[in-house]
Amino acid sequence: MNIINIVNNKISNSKINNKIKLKENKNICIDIIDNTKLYIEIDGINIKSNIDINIDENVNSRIFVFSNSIDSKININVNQNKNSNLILNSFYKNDDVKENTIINLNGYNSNIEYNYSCIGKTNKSLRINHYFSKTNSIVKNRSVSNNDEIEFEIIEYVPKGSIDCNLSQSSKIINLKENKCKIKPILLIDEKEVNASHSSVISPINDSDLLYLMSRGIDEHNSINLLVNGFLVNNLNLNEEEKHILFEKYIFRR
Amino acid sequence: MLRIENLNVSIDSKEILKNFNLSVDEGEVHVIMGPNGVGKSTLSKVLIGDKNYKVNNGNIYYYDENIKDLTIDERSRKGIFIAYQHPQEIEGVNNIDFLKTALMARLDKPINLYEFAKSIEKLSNDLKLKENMLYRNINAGFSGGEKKKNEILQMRLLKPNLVILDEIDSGLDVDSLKIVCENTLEYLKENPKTSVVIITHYPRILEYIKPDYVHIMKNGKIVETGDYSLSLKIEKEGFENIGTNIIEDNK
Ligand SMILES: Nc1ncnc2c1ncn2[C@@H]1O[C@H](COP(=O)(O)OP(=O)(O)OP(=O)(O)O)[C@@H](O)[C@H]1O
Ligand SMILES: [Mg+2]
Repeated sequence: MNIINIVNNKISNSKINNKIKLKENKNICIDIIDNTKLYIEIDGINIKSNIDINIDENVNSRIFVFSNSIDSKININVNQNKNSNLILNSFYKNDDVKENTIINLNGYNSNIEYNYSCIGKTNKSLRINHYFSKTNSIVKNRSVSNNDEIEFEIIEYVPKGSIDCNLSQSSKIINLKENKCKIKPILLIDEKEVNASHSSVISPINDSDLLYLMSRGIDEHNSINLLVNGFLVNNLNLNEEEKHILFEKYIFRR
Repeated sequence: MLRIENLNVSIDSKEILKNFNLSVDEGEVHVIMGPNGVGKSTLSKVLIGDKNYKVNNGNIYYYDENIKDLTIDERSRKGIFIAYQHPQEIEGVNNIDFLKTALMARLDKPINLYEFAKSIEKLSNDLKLKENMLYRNINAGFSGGEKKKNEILQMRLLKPNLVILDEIDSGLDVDSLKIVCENTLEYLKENPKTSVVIITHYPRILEYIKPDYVHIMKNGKIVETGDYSLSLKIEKEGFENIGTNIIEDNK
């Protein structure tokens, strides 16, 4: 298993195989040159972290980003080359975090599945640039606002000439306490031969769901926990072990 | 063990239950039949404490405690169980996590996970539920029959003292009905003090689970009480001629 720990914008620990090249200068640069799986953990207080990820031609990769940051900025730049496939799962436990991710689909038939779940005060911006034909993106953002403002901005750009692209994005925020939450989907599409769909939902917790759980003796607090954890964790494409790690590290046990 | 006194319940200012009375003793099986929309499900939701149903008047005693002001989860932990007519589908929550959490709440202590797994396995076998149902989201994509079986599985797991079965028999094929009834009977054999209220439209289920009383509900209250034969009469003749000799006492 490949792991890179980043604390306050420095690599504090890494264990990687020869399918990954790692460089550290002003930014942390991760080059994925062959099919592999990678875990990245980001911790930071009052810091700006910059991470560049490059996926080589014909490479399939799964990356998991777990982040626990306070009062921070996180910038992630992803470049995907021809025929590359990336599944990027992110779980962020934030306390006032501004997060900016840019994904450049820089080669014909490069594909991204982007699953993002977060809790805590978050200002998130995601931009996916479909610079080549037959590039595909699936975006799923999920968040639960307990006492926090959550803002998502999702920009997808398809310039003229990038044909046969598929874009789908869905964002959902469960707003537990009528906090200020915002979802801004922005589609900048200059090409006609493109399939695009998007959905955005901000809603309180489903009352009938809550009632059913409570009718089995589970109190309100624990029922909400079950619903919220399920909502966030199920959004991510994780196996059982990864779910376990996620629960242990980031989600308070019941 | 259950005493409902002069219960008045309205929805959107329309009175659904009017001076409703019913007493159930330990170990008894009561059946409630009545036309569509008469308020049978409303009664069951009021009993479990669904906060969307407001009680205007009357009291509900459970083992001599007035439970009118207890929340739905409190009532459940005290041993009241409802098998819903339409069980909720919940995306995102794993059935087995849910069952575990519910059992811990009911027992009010941590559970032995090995024993839990064993008992769940036995119950799902007894109910002929496919094992993968336990790992799917609660009722999500379950067939009508599978949902009903999942309700019975929860009943057997949580070991309630008062069970309300709201149309548990609707949507079940003959084999599934048999399995559901056998499981209910098995539960009652193991827990002979448990009382049951069966809401149904068909006497068929009563061939398996023998009722002590059959009540007919009309105009917000019980208008006639009899035994098993009353359910057969309803099946043959309908509700038309039932309770017509009752004078509206609240007018
Ligand atoms: N949540 C609700 N909001 C509005 N009306 C409701 C609600 N619940 C029940 N009702 C109304 O109250 C009446 C009684 O409904 P209820 O579901 O209790 O009937 P029922 O006797 O269970 O009928 P069925 O045999 O069809 O299941 C109906 O007219 C129904 O439309
Ligand atoms: Mg009903």
